[in-house]
Amino acid sequence: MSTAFEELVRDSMDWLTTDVELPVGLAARARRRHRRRRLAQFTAVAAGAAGAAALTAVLVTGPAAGAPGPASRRSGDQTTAYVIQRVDSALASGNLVMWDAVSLRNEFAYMDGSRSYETVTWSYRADTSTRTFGVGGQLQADAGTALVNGKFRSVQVDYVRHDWQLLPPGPASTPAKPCTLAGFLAAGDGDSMPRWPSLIRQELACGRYRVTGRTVVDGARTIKITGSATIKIPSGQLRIVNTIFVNPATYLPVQISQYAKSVAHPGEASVPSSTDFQWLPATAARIRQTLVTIPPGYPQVQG
Amino acid sequence: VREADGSGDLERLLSERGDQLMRTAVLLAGSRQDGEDLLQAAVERLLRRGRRVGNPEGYLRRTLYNLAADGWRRQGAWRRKLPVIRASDSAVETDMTAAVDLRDALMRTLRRLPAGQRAVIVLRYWDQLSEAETAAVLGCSEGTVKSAASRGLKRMRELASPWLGTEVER
Repeated sequence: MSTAFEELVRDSMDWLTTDVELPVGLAARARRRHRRRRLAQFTAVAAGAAGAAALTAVLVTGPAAGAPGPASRRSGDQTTAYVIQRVDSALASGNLVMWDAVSLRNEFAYMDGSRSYETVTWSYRADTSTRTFGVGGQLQADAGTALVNGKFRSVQVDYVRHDWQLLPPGPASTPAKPCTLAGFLAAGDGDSMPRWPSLIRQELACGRYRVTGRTVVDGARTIKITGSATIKIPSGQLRIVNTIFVNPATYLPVQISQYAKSVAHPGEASVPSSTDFQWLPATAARIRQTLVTIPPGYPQVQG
Repeated sequence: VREADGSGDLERLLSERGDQLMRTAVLLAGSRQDGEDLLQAAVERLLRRGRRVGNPEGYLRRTLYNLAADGWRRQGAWRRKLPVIRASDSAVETDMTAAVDLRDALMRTLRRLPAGQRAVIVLRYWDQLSEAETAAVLGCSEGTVKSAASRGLKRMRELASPWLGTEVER
């Protein structure tokens, strides 16, 4: 029979790894390294048999050297691979608290009836707290992880109705699958996205994104990484464009924006929605921000 | 897992069990980045062994533990790199942050265990293997597993004592 301490250890390991997923492309990377190693072994054997000079001649005149792509294309691909690898490493540390803010003007009314609101999200590993503020800056809702009867659960606190509810597992709490249209759209949305770092790492590994230049965002230099996907709608096709702006020193994203444009009429495009990020060392005070607090006296209601 | 024509076997294994293997690797390695490197190295070894491996998942697991233990031995100084673990003011907090702190502290103490004890703790309490199964994976006796689990838990409890309240059964 396990003791309470053993349960706690198990629960802690679960907590640490709950948002860990197999990185996209890990098997392919392992396979490439395996082939390189075998090629090196083969080369060593061949060099011993035929002499190093002859082998060099074979390799130089081989298909890779004989049919290079345009120089600029190769250079661009190398830049993209390098930048994406650096972004991936930066996001892999897992020991940063993510803060993001997004302003939305929606076609539907929200909570207090307004159509304009702002959300601020704090995330640390799988814990997240997304606070929604109305036009006057008043807190309307806080959704995310809370400690309920000793267990971490997904909840939403409604500051307009003064109550709270458990959130059932569903699309909002289930991460979108990477390398799918849903994953692409969710990664570009950025809004209120728990496990966003994990999702964007996997999305970047899918090969849909390219480095498209450098630009200044809020007065700071950034590298621009752009990806796009096409979706069908009744009136034609839309191209959805995600642009990630990363800090060239830390390679952490500082902003992501998403917009849609008509494939048939490229001049017609939506206003980009954008999410700003900050990445902060995980202090106790910041970790506290990633958890939802249920105010005393608020009754639990059924969703 | 056949390299020439059986790449689908590996893809299938990783699509079905990859997340769980990745989580095990993260626990063994101590961070996500190191966990990725560890799992990738284990997959490379699996590819090298090719069709000679009858149970690819079992082989991957054993390799993860062996590579992790090798890594720990090579990097004998890794413990010195860890942030100093000390009881902070949060130890006396009663809000939910304390619960997060406790879990965080426990996972830091896991990283400080010797290789064998750490592997046993992960196999027994994360992978939920029996003592006999754990012994088979690690290639040791059940008695060794039992004593390593006991010592590992005792050490974790000692290291995490500043965070542990009296409500935790001893």
